Amino acid sequence: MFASELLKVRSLPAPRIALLITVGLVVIGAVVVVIVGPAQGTSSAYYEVPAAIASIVVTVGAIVLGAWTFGLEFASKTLRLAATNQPSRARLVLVKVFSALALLSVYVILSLAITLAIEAVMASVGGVNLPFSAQLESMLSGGVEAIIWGLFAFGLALLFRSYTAGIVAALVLALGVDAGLQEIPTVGKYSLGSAISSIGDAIAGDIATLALGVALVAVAAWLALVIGAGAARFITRDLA
Amino acid sequence: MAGAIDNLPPVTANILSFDAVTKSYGSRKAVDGLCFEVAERSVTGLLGANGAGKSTAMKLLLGLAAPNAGQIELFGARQGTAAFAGAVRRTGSHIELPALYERATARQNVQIQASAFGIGRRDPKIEAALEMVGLSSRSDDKVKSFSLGMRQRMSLALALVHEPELVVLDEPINGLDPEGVVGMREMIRSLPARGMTVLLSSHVLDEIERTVDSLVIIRDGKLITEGSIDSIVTGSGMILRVPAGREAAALAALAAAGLEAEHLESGAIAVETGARPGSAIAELLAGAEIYPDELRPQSADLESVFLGLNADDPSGA
Repeated sequence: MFASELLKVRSLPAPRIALLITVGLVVIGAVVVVIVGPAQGTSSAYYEVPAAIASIVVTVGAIVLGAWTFGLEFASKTLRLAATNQPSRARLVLVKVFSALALLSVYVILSLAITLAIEAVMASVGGVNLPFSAQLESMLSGGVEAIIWGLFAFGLALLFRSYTAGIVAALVLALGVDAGLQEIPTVGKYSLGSAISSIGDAIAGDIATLALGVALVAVAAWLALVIGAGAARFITRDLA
Repeated sequence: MAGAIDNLPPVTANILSFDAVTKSYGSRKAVDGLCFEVAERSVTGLLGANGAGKSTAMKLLLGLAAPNAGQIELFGARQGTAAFAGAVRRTGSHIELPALYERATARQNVQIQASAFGIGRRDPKIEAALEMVGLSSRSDDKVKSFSLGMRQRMSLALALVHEPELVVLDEPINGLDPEGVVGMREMIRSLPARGMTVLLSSHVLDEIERTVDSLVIIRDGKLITEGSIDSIVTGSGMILRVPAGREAAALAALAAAGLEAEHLESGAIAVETGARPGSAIAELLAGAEIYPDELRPQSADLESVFLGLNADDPSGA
């Protein structure tokens, strides 16, 4: 079954397009910086702008690809085929979860590696030193956060039985609703966004809202809730 | 290949059985106490009007839906057991509309499907499946550019590429041109010789009649009749012709033997023989010194049989 999932990634355009758009936007940002030039005393913008663009675009790309891994079957109405190829639905969900994790990891690593290379070129163009280890830590932090958001989008697509709904719901939560949840007294710090940020901060060596262990448990609970609910719905209901 | 076919075991076993299977959606029973069996290496037609429960029955046997009552057994594995999942993997199916990855090529679609069964990307089975459905020349084209008929054939390639033991085809000739229909019929008829069993549904009665060995006719989710195509389309009566002027005597002799007979406009006599063989009718008439010029089974086409069975069904065929 993994071979089949790998072939879907290789044969279908979505993963390649996501990577191309990510890299393209980072390159466009870099070109704009070169053309416009950073303000006085902000020469670090040569490498910081591509990094900032990548941190946002990679998260959005991960959400799209996470939702795509299962949402693809709903969108192309191939779920019945997938479910007869692998009639154990629990096993099918597991295969898809690990496929999503593998796809997201490859996408994030490739995107961030290319971004890091672009940052190095930009630092050279701007005549500034690239703080490589700090940038690497920052990227690692952003990459892990993106992968978690991607897995969350995977769970939402499974839960809502829709590629589009998975993407939209994850984006709405990531870009808006989660900030509101964080404002809730006492429990707000356990929101998904807060927990993901805490993990990212811990990797980057920054001060985090939650201790790493607590943040990991909170993220695991959120993922288990969404993916578990989606899996339960998928396993127990008929496929129309 | 012929040697391999010769070595296959004789056709005896039923590989699929429905035993009092019921499936409800809300208050509506899509399948209602359905019982039927499918013999190994046969082509069995599942026939019924729209909404009769054909697609639901197919989804049930593929594990896509769970029955509310009754028992389905596939390759000896009962629905609801772990072994049933393994049995479903021995099937290939095309249910309702073709489900394909639109942005992948025909070959990539077949490769994706084949890889789920451990078949490599360059395995000759990939090209063989495309060849079988007549899409070799379009194998590098994206499926989104395909017509309905081509998609239908693509879907069949996916159903057959892993050489399943049971092929489940729901309306396989939808969207095919006349040439495609003939090709499809020949292909389906060739599958039992390759060790495959076929369960297919279609609305095209003429095509079903030409393609299947046996039929399961359902209405409102219930079994109406099942049996070999010959036993269903052949009536329980006979047609006989007697020398001119002897018709009245023949009718009288038949009536005296308790048989219902009717003098047709064509001049022939239709007689309801029940289980009596033609020789018994000939003997009976000979007793009255009537020697028929013609005595043959009364046959009907599938359409008239089907319409007759659905006569009290307001939805018709």
